[in-house]
Amino acid sequence: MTWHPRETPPDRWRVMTERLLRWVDPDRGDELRMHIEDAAAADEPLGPGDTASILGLAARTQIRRTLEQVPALIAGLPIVALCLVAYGSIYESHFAPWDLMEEIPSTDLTAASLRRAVELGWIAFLPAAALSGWRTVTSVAQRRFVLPAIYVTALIVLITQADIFIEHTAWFADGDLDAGDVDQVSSYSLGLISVAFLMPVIYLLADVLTRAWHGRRSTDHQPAAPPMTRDRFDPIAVGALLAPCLFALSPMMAFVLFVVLVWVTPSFRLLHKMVATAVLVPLVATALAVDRTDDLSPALLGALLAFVVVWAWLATVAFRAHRPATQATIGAPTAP
Amino acid sequence: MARPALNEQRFLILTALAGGPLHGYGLVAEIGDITGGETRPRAGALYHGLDKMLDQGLVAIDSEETVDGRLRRTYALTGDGRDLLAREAARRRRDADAAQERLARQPTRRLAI
Repeated sequence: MTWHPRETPPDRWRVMTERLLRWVDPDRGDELRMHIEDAAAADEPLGPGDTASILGLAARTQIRRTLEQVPALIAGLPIVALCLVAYGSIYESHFAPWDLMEEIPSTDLTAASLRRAVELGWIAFLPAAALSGWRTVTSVAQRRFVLPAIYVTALIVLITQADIFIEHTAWFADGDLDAGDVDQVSSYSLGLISVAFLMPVIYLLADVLTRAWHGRRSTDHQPAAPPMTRDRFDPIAVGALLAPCLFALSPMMAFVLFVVLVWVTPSFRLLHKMVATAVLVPLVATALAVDRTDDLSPALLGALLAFVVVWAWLATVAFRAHRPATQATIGAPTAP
Repeated sequence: MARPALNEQRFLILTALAGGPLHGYGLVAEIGDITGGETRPRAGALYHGLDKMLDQGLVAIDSEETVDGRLRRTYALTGDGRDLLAREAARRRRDADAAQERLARQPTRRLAI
């Protein structure tokens, strides 16, 4: 069975071939469409053998892309590990034993546990952030923005946590804490300070590894053109990566940042932005109110669940936007 | 046994490009002419071979133009590609000559099976 692009091809063949071409590099897909048009003009329509060979080309392209991502993925694992450490530090800072176990009644421990679960829920964000974020961070154009932003945030965290460290140390000096407590306080603060210092280093490492990998593959005849340079800036990914640092400062800052990022993300349509805002703004308002009362209400839990749903939805949209776009359609009318 | 430097298809691609830069479908047509229509590379295999030879520096992108909103890229032989093609052609000629010579020495001997 063969089809002719300039005639009306069977839909199944056209759709199948079009789908295959989406899985090759965008330029190559475009070139193949030109090839198919040339063959059609010469009255030599492609046959199933050509389609099968394009399938092989698409498979090889995907394998190559996967292998190219390995160094960055490996570099992304320490990022996830560091974020987990950061969350652990945040949790311990917020619910230190001398604050909770001795002063809060047992009924509030349930609320504290729920709050801890909410905080840890952010961890679900991190693997996706690591996968998406490295593409953003390693892009040549975006590196200029992302790295300074990370450094500034890290600096803020460093200053904030250093202040807490000094304050707690002063408590110890005044005799308010015993010797065992100060070790814990030191470890919490140092953990956060380490994260603040190490995150930019890890990002730089991921960047260097990725660029070195692509540089090694380049030749004089084919300048290196990593696929990720085609990607647009993805603020959601950046926001996700900054979230641990921001959370250390204020959960509210993290929520507000998220709303802002939703609106400046080019991957999201107006509908995405409006729906996300409609859910997130009440969430922020509720969270602010709860923050004052230091309690967890069913309303807050509902809002946080909604936040998780919205975030998962937005993450899906952002990931889909990273797929190589099809620039033309076989058999479709061409530009004049 | 040492592996041949070029497989049949890549040898034909280089041979076609030795006559001048060609785009993808032009290569298919040229290889068809060279082989008397016996060989016409499939689209996927052709571009995979071109990718490999681009990586090896045997061919280079000569030009890119947009035709009706679609990319037409032409490929050209590099100096390395020309050298390799010359060596490979000499090797194949030598092997073919040896085969012809041996066939000429014992023209009609057939094994009974």
